[in-house]
Amino acid sequence: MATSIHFGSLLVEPYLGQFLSGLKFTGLLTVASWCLAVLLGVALATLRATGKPWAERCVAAWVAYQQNVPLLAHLLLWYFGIPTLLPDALQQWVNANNGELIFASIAIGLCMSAYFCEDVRSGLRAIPNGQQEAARSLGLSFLGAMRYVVLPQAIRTSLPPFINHTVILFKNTSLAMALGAAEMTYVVREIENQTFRTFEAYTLATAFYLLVSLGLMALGASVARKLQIPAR
Amino acid sequence: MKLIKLFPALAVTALTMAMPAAHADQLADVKAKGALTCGVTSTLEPFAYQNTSTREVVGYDIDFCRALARHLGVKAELKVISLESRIPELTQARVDVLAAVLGYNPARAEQVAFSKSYFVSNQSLSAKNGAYKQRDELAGKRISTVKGSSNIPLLQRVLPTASIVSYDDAPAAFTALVQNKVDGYILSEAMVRRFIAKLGSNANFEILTPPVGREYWGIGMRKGEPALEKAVNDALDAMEKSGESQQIFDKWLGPNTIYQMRRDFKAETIPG
Repeated sequence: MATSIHFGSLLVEPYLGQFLSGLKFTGLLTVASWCLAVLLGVALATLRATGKPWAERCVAAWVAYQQNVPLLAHLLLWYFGIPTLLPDALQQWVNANNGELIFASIAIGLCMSAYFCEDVRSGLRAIPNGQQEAARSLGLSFLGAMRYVVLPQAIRTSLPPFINHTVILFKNTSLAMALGAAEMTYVVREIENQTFRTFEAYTLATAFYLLVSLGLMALGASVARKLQIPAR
Repeated sequence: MKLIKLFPALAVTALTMAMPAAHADQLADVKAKGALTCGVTSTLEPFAYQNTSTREVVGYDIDFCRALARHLGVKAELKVISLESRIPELTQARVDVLAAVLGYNPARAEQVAFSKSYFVSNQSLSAKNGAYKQRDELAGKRISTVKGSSNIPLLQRVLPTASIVSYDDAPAAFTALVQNKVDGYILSEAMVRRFIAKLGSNANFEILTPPVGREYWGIGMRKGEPALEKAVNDALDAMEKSGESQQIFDKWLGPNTIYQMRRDFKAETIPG
């Protein structure tokens, strides 16, 4: 019964092409959802830092909603649920322009924005209030003080959880296969279905995710080292 | 000494006990028992499902089982089995025959003897009403199906340029068609008709011809039972001739049902 293990038979056409297309999709999805998550996360944390009670409550509600609903449910809601509310013309445009990628990026990006928001908030708490006050006394506006003085320090402090959540975001892109998004896990499952080389197919996927995750962590660590201010 | 003399006898006994199926003729056994035990499923409307008011299992497969038993001159006995275990249930002799949505494929044919076909399931493409005239116009389009489905290799052969998007289950793949995320959808005709019927009067989908593939369903029997095989095939031929098979088809899938299907096959030896 035991078939011999042979990775070479998966690294030829058409499987190699499928594998590379999965790689491209996972890459695009990771980059798109990461950009959305980080921009929105930083914006929300800044909004919360204004100290306005309504802002704090809104951001806290957003974070609670995104963190307490499974990502798969977010994905299904965005892919199958939200489009029914959109005007027909927009629906058609999205369907014609890789709707899987668009909706998966939005769902993952919004969900992970809550985590990045909390990372930045914890970083902001590490910065003494005097920094903001000193910046304001030099004539900077609130946003200017955040942009040039407070946030750079806060993000530097929160880099470790930031990298952590980046790796989690990357791994979570595999859930998009439920939407028919042809990312790495979807493609590997297809290859497995076609070849019945179960061990080889999933081993390749495992190696891919492990290598990229470790690479992201190494990259994050080197960025953290570069940004570190030497202690006096 | 005595033990050694006994050994051949013991060995024979052990062998016969290990092979309960090693009897002369299953057909004779069925007749002696006075009952034909059919392995049937119970969750696949309209082929085999529980009637909610009588709690009885009814359907296309069940009617075929009863008709076969009547032709053999015995009474029908139903045994509900699961889809996954239907072949072991048969090979381990817990049922006499399978009338359990058993589609022919070469791997199964190595384990089970198939009768002539009693149903042919068309794997067809469906699309929005009027969008396409026939199957091949979907070349190069997006087509949804279920992950790991046997339709995928079929479709790749017939429409190599189509891009296949596979979802976790059949309803999700159909929803993708309803929401225009894909241009076509491939599934067995009966299942598609059921989905379309469920959408109600505003459903504007049609089934494109010709089908992408055809799956032949046979009554499953244990291998090496030529007498039973012949009796079953003779019964299917007789039912074909008398119109009984057509009646059963029309009762469950015909124009007066939600499926509105036409019978486009006859009881024939399954092309292997």
